[in-house]
Amino acid sequence: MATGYTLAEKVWQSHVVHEAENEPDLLYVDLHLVHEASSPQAFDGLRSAGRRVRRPELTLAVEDHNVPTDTTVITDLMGRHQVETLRRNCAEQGIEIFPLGDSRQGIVHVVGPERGFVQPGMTVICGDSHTSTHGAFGALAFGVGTSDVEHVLATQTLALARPKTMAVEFTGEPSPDVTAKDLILALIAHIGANGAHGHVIEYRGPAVRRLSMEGRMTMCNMSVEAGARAGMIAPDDTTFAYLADRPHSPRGADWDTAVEFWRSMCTDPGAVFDRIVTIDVSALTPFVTWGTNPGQAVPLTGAVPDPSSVSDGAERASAERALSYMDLVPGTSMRDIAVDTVFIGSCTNGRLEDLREAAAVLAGRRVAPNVRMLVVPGSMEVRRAAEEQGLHRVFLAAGAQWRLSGCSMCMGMNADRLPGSERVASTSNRNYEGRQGPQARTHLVSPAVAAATAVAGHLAAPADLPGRESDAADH
Amino acid sequence: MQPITEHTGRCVALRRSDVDTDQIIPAEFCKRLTKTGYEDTLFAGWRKDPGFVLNDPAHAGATVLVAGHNFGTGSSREHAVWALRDWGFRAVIASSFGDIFLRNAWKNGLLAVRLPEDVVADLADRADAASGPSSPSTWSPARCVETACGRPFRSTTAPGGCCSTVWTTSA
Ligand code: SF4
Repeated sequence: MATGYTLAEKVWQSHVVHEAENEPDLLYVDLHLVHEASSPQAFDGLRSAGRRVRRPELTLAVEDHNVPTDTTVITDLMGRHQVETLRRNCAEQGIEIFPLGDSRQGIVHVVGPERGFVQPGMTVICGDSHTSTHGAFGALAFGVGTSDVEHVLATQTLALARPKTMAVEFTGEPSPDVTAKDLILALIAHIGANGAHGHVIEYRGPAVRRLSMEGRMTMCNMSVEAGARAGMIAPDDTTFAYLADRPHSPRGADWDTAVEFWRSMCTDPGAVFDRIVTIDVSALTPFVTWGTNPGQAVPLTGAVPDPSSVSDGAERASAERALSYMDLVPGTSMRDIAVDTVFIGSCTNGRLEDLREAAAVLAGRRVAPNVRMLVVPGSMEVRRAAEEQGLHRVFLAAGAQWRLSGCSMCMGMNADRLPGSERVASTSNRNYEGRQGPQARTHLVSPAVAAATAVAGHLAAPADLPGRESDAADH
Repeated sequence: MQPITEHTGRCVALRRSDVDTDQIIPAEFCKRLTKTGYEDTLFAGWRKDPGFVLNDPAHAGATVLVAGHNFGTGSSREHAVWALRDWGFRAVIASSFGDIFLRNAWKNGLLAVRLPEDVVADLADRADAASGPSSPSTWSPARCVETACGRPFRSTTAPGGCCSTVWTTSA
């Protein structure tokens, strides 16, 4: 019998404003993040019902999905119209917005945390499936559709059926070349693209504790790719250190009170999860996807799997379809797969640490002649910090493009789309058919693997690269 | 929203699993500002293939989509539900759904029916067998009866708050 509560249950319970038998709980929403693509119809609905936004001061809007990353002028008419509509809606409703061209603009799931809006124990809603990112702070964060966005705008609450809880216990010590991206790709390959269906995941274990906030956000971000409702990590000193002195973090005595409360946001020893998945990461190596859903992944040292070895009929058919779309032959070594483009960015891997990891691999090296490489910071703040550290010079010297911030090539809504059936190594989160361009073929990778791939011209880990000239000079 | 309490219609089988919302409606069509008028966008990528099942005139007018597991996974775009609805679908039958899709479907009166894998497979077989240009009149009609309307969260087995449903076919 449970003698305590899980982290998810604690946050949930402290936000219930109404509960009744056979009804969903009505949850209070502490932070509502809004972007231009999922909100116009919600604001329209609000207007036609004669309502106003109930708590504009708990609502933050950004422009990210449609924005170009090589200029601050949107030439695409429909994209511009959507962005202008968001600006009008925010002005009308008194909502703070970080527009294109603003030094605080960026991808919604990068900007929220970096400004200190997202804090442990909060409920966070956004009309975007990767809202799960914010669980990295011990917040309960759900992605929703436009009707729910309207509901939150109107009431600052959301009616939700109580999800189940799932513990993912990472055991063992991962090797230093294994990143948060590899951990989450390995997990999704293990449990499947719908393996956490209906559950809120809590990531646990020493490998998680050692992750930076950036790594934790990468991990929680992709919870939705395992079918989870949300992903969470209990806050600790790493979390508090990240939050200290952020523009929206509490200060002075409020800070001390907050930290004391935040420390209580953890799973009690006697709490019971509906499901526990244990995954040993001590033998893990960098992971990459071969197919068209994020669960179709193997170690980079592995090969394209043979669908005929899959016993489940539906999975076999799905693998066959994926290989045909990806134009891959079973048995091909993953390292032999050549790419046309490398994309570093997105709400999964567009943060400063990700750029640092990529730059560390690229320093003193050049992008392969036939490869185009885009580096797109997750926010303008990330861009500024990266430039302060000189990372942009490393990217530019290697022959990569250094862009402004936006969702960019993560998804085909803006100008950064892959032409034809180009193959891309991408640090984003979805390898769906057509996601990065109508015929684009996506391999999901970590920033380090992306950078090494750009240099090698085919999927590669940093360890696969020959030494640099500068290394030789050192010895 | 047009509420659905009972529906009789013809099935069409989409024999693919993990159909994500990027396939149901590609992102480029999510720049629109309206909630309606998405019929031309449904499966826009796949419909470029003349052999795609929804391009088969024998399936024109089908109102029930029978699909593989984890239907509607991925992006939270409600446009996916709007596109299915505007195309003319009133119900989707699969063994599992993406959670956010399920919520969006429920909000828009698109019935998402979860049935065991073998029952879904059987329905798909019958939908295929009963179609074909030569015998459009012999399509297998499907009847979805929603039993819990007004109390949509009754079903504890439906995360995301889908109505509990009963499914029958007239054999
Ligand atoms: S970066 Fe990609 S996944 Fe993240 S919010 Fe933008 S489009 Fe969505």
